[in-house]
This record gives sequence, C-alpha cells and structure tokens, in this order.
Amino acid sequence: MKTTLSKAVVSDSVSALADGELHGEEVTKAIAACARDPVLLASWHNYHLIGDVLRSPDLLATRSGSPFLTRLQSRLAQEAMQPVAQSDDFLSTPTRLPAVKQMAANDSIFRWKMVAGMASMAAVAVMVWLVALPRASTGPQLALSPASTDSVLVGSPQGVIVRDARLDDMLAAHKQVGGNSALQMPSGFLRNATFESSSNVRP
Amino acid sequence: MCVPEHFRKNAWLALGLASAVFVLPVAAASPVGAALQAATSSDKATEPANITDWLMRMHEASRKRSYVGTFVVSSAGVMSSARIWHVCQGDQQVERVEALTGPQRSVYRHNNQVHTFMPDSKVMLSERRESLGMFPDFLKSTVSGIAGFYTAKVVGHERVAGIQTDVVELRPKDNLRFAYRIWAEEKSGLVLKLQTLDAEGQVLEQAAFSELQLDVPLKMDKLLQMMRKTEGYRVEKLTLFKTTADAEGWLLKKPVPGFNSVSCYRRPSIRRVVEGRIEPMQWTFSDGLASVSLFLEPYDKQLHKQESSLSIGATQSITRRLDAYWVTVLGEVPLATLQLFVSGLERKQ
Repeated sequence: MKTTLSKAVVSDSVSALADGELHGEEVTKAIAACARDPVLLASWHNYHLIGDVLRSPDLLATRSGSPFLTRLQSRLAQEAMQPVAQSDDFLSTPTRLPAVKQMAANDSIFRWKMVAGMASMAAVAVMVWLVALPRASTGPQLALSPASTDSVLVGSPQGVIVRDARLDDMLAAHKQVGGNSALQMPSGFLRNATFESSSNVRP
Repeated sequence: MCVPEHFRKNAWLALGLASAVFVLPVAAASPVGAALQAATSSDKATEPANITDWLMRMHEASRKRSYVGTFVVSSAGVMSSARIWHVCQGDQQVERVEALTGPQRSVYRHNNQVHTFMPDSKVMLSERRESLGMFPDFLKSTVSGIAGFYTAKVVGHERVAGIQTDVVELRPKDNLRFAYRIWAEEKSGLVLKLQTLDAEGQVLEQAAFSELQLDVPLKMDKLLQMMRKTEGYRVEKLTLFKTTADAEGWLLKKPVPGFNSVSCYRRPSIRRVVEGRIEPMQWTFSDGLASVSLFLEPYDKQLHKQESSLSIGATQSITRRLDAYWVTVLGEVPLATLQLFVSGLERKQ
C-alpha cells in the first residue's frame, strides 16, 4: 500500500494514537506519519496539551466560556456532593451547602489548606467540590449571615481546602498586630496591605 | 477510534487551545526557587558583613527613598497587586497603597497611623499600629537578637523591576523558622523582592515590585490631604486594649527558642456578628523576623467544632482545645513551631 492515505484518515490515526487505541503495525505507521509531517506532529503535541489541561483544570487559569468546559465543570460539580465533617449539624443543614462554583486559580478568597496530621479526614473529603459563598464585604450584610462563622471544607486538586471566616479574621488581626518584624518596614507593611485587599474587607 | 474523544479534542483545538497555551508557560515557570539557587555568588567589598548590618541598611533605605511602583504578592495560589506611593521627609513617612485586585481599597500610612478606605462600604478604618513605630534604637535591639537565629549570605546579583540588586539569603540556624530570600537594591539596600522559603527551599510566598520608579518627586502634603479626606465615609477607630498574659491568667511555661513576647491585646470585637461573646485575647511573639499570634478564648461548643492544622502560603495555623479553652496559634513559622507554643501553654491555677 502506498502512503497516499487521505489527510483525514492519517489525522484520525494520530488522534487514536494519542488515545492509546492503536496497536501493532498501526502504531508504527502513525508514528512514521508524524515524523514526516510537521503538521501532524503539531497535532500530536496539541492532543497531549489538551489531555494535560483536561486532567488538571488548574492549568487553565481562566474563566473560559467554552461550552465544553462549562459542561465539564457542571458535571464535575454534580459528582459526589458529600460534605465531610465530624459535627452532625454541620452536615444536615442544607443551607450550608452553597452554590457550587469553579475554583479559579486566582480566586480572591483565602483558602486554608489542610496539612499533615489531618490525613484521615483529608482522605474522606477528597471528592467534595464546595466553595463557600463569598463573604459579604460590609458590616450589615455580615450580620445577616451567621453561617459565615462556620468553616467549610473544600476538595480541590491541591488537597482539602478550608474556608473559615473566623480564622481569616484572626489572620487579619495577626497581620495587623503581629508584624513585629525587622522586615516590616521595608516590605512587610506593603505585603500585608496588598495581600489583605484580596481577602474580604473588615469590618 | 473513539469518535466523541476525537470531537472533544477538535473542539478544544478550536476553542480552548489559545488560552491553554497562554497559561502553560506560567505553570511551567513556577519552580522559581531552583533557578534562583543557581545564581552565582560574588564578593563585593561594599556589602554589609553580617545580618544586623544588612537589616539596618534595608530599614534605612525605606526611610530615605521616595518611590512609586507596582507591588505584587503571590501567596497560596492567590496573586494580589497594588500601586504604591512612598514619600520620606526627614523622619516622616507617608505611604499610599491602592489595591489593584480584589475589592476596592486604599490604605494610607503616616508613620504608624494607618487609614484604610473601603469605598464599597463607605467605611474608613483608623488605627495606630505600634509595630510600625519601630525607631532605629528599638530596631537595633531587635535586630541584634536575630543574629542568634539566622545567618545572612549574598547568593547572587539580579535585576528586579529593572534595578540591579543583591540577593541576600537569611537562613535559620534551627528548624523552628523559615528562610527568607531578599532582593535589595545594590545602591541603597531598598527591598525590591522578598521570598519566604521552607526547609526544602520551596517558595511559600513571594512579594516583589514588578515596576518601580525611584526618587520620584512626590508631595507629602498632597498624600496627607488625601489620607485625611474622610467626607462621605463612616470613620471607625480600631482601639486595642492592652493587657498582659499574666493578668489574663496565661503562661508560656516552655518558651520557644528565639521568640519573645511582644504584645498582648484584647480586641473590642474581631467579628461583630456574635453579640455578647468574649473576644479572644491575642498574645504575640516574634523572633525579630517571624511572628506568631496566640488567640485564647473560652471553649464554646457551638462555635468551636473542629481542631485543625491548616496552612495558607507562608502562614500556618493550629487550633486545639485546651480544657475549658480554645486555642488558635497562627504565624509565619513551620507547624512544628506552632505545636511548641501549644504544648508550652499553661493556664495559671
């Protein structure tokens, strides 16, 4: 057989190769085709790039309007909506299961990561895709939202994330008072003033 | 050949790839630390000989230079930036920080007086931060203690925001604290970039000027006028009540090496939502570079549900129940150090 396969057929074979669907001689042929044709080689790279992004949504640090991505996100969000906590009433109140929201890579809320020592909890919590409703930024609104004092566990590709309004407040208090550092004057104050702005503002 | 898979990829080729390609280099560039480690070291005669001199020089530079720049902070996957104006006149300093990310917010600082304007809620928070009033004498006494727990070493020379810098590494002598890497302007020692690193050399957090104009003629009066312009804002004064751990019935029986008690406050309210609650006492320690806050409050079954160990960028926290009390320890130190604070804490009989 001459190597005059139509472009579409060869392109399909590269796609199939990327999916690991080819075997034996087909593999050799597809690789040879890639080696000859820079366009095919570029598609080969693109398929893998796409695969990487699909496997690690965080690589895609953008709110893409792609219908496919939107559908993927909503499907992921529907899967395993099982919050994890040891306290019963934390589990039972449906109002504490806020709307599911994609975690953008530069989400402008504090995200505390659960660290070693809590591994058993982390293991149970793997598939929780919850993000707390953004905290109100003004006093009166805060007063209407008693749930904001609770912590919410969030599963993410980085591990289990905790949103805890009280802890955020303590962090702010720590930064205000605790800046007793020789580095405070050169840069600590700027750092805090800049970073705090990305959290929700008190009071 | 799986057709849906194929379609999916083609859809991505058309729609998603432009952004994917744009994003990937950012992700690939993240192991910054490794590249920086390779920076060459060189010995210049003018460089300060020890950590005390380095820190004093950096501090002095911030009291002498006026500048305008853009400051970027990257921590825990969040990137924030702000426009900075910094003016010095004699021993007076005025600074304006205009947030470029997150909710609108302007922070003005006149020496240790800080005004935070929040246009969304029309609230201006006025406070005096004692830690900002570190006079040279006080700083000298603080800095001399730092030498016992950290060493300084020049590890390279790089450009930051177009300015030539010395890269100085402050390494801890034990494993109770993090390391810092500082990019200081060669000429004056002004800090242009700062990284906090863990024991493995991983960058936990970094802050840097992405763009900076030095020695810009700025009018201090004008900034002060803006700072005092509170029309249309509800002014809230944050007043902290000074107390002592002793008076509150607390004792750190086993002190944590290098960390000294620097302040102890009671706040009027950290969170206004819960009426009539006793707000935690905040007891702060510092080793001169890193600080740790202990928040101590009576245990409340409704409020305190879960002991935890959490981290956000360079900041770690531990929450533990201690008999009838609830303890939250928080600071820019390894978790093990916070653990020492928790285990050394004792309620006086």
